[in-house]
Amino acid sequence: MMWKIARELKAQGVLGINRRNGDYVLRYNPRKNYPFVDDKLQTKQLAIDAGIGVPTLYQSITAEHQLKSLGALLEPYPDFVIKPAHGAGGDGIIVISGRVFKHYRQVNGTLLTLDDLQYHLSSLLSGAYSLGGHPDHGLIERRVIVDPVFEAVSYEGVPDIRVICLLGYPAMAMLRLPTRASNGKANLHQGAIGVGIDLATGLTCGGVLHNDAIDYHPDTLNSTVNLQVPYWDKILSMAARGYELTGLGYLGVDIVLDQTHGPLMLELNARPGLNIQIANREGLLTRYKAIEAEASHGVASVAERVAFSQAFIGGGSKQAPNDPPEHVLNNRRIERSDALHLDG
Amino acid sequence: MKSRQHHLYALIGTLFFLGIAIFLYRHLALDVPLTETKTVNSWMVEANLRFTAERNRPVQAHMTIPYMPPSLVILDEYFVSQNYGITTNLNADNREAVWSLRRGSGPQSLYYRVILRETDHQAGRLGKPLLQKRRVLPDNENVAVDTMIMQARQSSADIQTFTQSVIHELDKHDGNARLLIGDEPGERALVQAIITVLNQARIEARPVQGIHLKQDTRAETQWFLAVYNEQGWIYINPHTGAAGLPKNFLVWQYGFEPLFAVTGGKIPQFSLTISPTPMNALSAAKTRGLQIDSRLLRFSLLALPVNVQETYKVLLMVPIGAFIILLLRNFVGLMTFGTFMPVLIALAFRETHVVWGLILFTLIVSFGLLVRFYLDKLRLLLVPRLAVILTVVILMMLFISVMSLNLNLGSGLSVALFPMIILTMTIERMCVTWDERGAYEAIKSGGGSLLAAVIAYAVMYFPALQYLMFAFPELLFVLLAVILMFGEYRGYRLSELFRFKVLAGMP
Repeated sequence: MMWKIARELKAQGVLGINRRNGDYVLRYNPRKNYPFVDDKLQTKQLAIDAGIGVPTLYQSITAEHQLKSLGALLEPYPDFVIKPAHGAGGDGIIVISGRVFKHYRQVNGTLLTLDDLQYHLSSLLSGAYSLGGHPDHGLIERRVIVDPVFEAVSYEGVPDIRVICLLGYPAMAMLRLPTRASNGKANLHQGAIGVGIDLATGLTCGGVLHNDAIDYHPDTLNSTVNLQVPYWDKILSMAARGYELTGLGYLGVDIVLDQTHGPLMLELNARPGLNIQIANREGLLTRYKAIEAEASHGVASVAERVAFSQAFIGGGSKQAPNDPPEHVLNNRRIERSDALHLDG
Repeated sequence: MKSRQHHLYALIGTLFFLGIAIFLYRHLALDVPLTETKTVNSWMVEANLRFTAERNRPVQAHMTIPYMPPSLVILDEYFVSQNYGITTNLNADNREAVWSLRRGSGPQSLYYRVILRETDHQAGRLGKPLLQKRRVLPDNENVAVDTMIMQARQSSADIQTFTQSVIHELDKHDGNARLLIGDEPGERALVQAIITVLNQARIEARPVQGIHLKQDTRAETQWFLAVYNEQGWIYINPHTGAAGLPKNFLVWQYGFEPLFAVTGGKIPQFSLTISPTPMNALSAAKTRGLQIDSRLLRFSLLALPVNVQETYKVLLMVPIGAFIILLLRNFVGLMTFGTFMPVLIALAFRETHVVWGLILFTLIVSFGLLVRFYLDKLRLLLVPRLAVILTVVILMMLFISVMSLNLNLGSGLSVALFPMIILTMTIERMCVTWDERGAYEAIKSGGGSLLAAVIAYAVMYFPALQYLMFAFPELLFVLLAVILMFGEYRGYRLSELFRFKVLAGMP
C-alpha cells in the first residue's frame, strides 16, 4: 500500500520535502542572499527600488522606546497592519481595520487597546515571532483592501496569490482564500482553501480544503472555479522578477490584489511550501525539469520567461482530482514525463 | 553537481572502510570481544604471608612470585601491606618480591594477589641451561644411579622416555630406589632423586613447584619436573611420568628453595587461596593490550580513568541518538520541538527511566505551560519571561524531588537530571505554537518529541549497542558514513505519503 503510493507519487512528479531542500533550496538559494527575503524590510526596499508595487510602509519600529509614543505614531492612520520583519507563516501579524472610541478594531471585530498593541510589539521586538528567537523589528504598513473580485470567496482576511518560481520561471501558482476556520489567515494548514491557477490564463480551478476537493467557499458558498485572476500577466512578471531582485533561484512569491493599487508584492519565501501541489492536483517536479532544461539554454528576459511558462508549463491544472494525468496534459508534457520515467 | 556526488561517495566509502578495517583488526587480531557477556577463564591467586615481627628490628620478607608462567598470562597483580617498602627482583629462574620495614612489631600480614588468564601460549620462562658437570656422589649412591641409568637407557629412546623410565625405576621401591629417595617418602625427596639420576646422565632437569588452579582456600604446592630435551623444556609429572603440564597448573617457582623467607620475624605462615574470577573479556583484552603494547588498544577508551570512561559511554551514544532523529525526521517525517531536543530528553531518561521520565516531563511541561499562559497576561518581555519560566521549572523540579522523597518514590529524585534549559525552551515554543497554530499542533509536536525521545532512548540504551560503541569507537566512522549516505535521501517521507495521498489518486 505505502509502496504503491510512493511509486504513484513519484510517477506524478510530486516533490517531497527532502528533495525540495536538497535539490532545489540548497542548490539554487545561496545562503548569503537569505536576508533579502527573511527581512521583510529589506524585501520591501528591494521591491521599491525595482519599481515593484508593495504596501506602503508607514512606520518601522526598531526600538522599545518608540513604543511610548506608539499612540502618536499611529494617529494619522485609520487602518494599518503590524508585522514582524522576520516572521514566518503569518505569525505575529495584526490587522487593524479601524477605531472604536479609543480602541483599535481588528478585522474579526475584536477590540485591542493601545496597551495590547504595545505589548504585542514589545514581544515582537524581543523576537517572539522571529525564526530562532532573534531580536526583530516591526513594520507598520498600509492595510491592503482586497480587490472585490475575491471578496465573494474569502472570509475576513486577505486572500493572496502564491507563485513558485524556479530560476525566474513561474512554475506553479495558487490562490489562497481565508476561511472562518483559518481565522482569516491564508494558510492552508489552518484551514484556508488553496485553489490552483492555470498559468496560461489565470483562471482558477477547483480548490482543496485540507485534502478534499472543494468547488465553493465554505463560508460564502460562492464558486471558486473559473474565476479570472485580474492583472494575471503583471502578477506573473512580478513573481518572475523576484529572481533578479534577490538572486534566489527557488522562490515563493506572495502577491495580494489591492482594490486601488492592483497587485502588490507582500513577501518572498526562500523555502516555499509544497501544498501548492495539492491545490493544483499536480506534482512540481515535471514542471521543474522542463524549466531547468529551458534555463540551461541561456539567460532569458523576464518577458521571455513568463512567455515560456505560460506556453509550456501552465498546460493546465486538473479539474477533477481523480482524472488521469493525461487528460489535460498536452503532448509535449507527456513526452517529457515519459522521459522522466526512463531516467528513473 | 556530479563531482560533488563523486566526492561525497568517495568520502562515504573511505569512512566506511576505515571504520570497518579498524574494527575488524581490533576484533580479529587484538581479540577485543564483540559482546560484553563474553568472559574468559581467569583465576585469582592470593598468597598470604603472616608472621610476628620481633620488636624494633628490621623486617625483611622474601616471597617467590610467579613470572611468565607457561599456559597462563598474568593480567594484574597487587602487593598489599601496611607501611612496607616493596621491591621485586628477577633472578636466574624466578621472580621474588621483597617486603622490608625498618621497625616492626606484632603480627604482620603481607599479601600478594595475582589475576591470571588461560592462554594458548605455551612457552615458559626457562632459558637454555648451561652444561653441568657430573657431581661426585658417595660410592653406594653412584652405583645405584649408574644401575638405574643403565636400566632406563635400555627401555628408552629419547630424553623424555628416559626420564619416564627413571621415574618408573624409582617407583619400584627396590633397594636402589630406596637408597636414592631416602627413608622418608615425600614428593620433594622423589623429585630430588629423579633429578640426581638425570643430572648424572648429563640431562638438565629442574624441580618445579606450582599449584593446581581450582577453588581452594588452602592450596598445597605440588612438584613437577622440567627436563631439557635439547630443544626446549618439557614438564613431567614425577609420580606418573606423564609429560606436559596439566591444564590450569600455575608454575610458582623453579628450584628446591622454600617459597618464602622471613628475617626479623617469627612463626611465618604461608597460605595460598585460589578462586575463579569470571572476568569481563574486554578488561582481559585491555590488560593484555597493555602487555603486548599494541598502539590501537592503548589508544582505546579503556586507558581512560573509569569515571571518564562512564562519560564516554554516554557521549558515544549521542551520535546514535542523532542518527535516530535523522531517521525519524527525514524518513518518517515526525514533528519535534527543536532538532536534537529529544536526544537530550532521552539522555535524562537514562537516570529517570522511561515511564517516570515521561510522567515527570509531562508534569513539568504542563505546569510550565500554565505558568506561561498566566505570564502572557503580565506582558513580560521575552528574556525576563524565559527567566521566569526557567525559575518555575527549577522550583517544580525541587518540589517533585521533595514530594517524592516524602512519598518514598526514589525515581522522583532523578528529576534534577532533566535539562532545564531545554525544558524552558520547549515550554516557550510550545506556548507560541499553541497560540499561533492551535492546541492540536502544539500537542502533536510535543507528543512527537516525546515519542522521538522514547525511541532514541530505547536505541541509545540498548546494552549490546552501547557496549559495541564503547569497545569499538571506530564504529563512529561507519555511523558517519551511514549518516552521510542517508542524508542523500531525496525520496518521500512517510508522512508525505499521507499528505499527498490525494495526488496519487487514492482516496
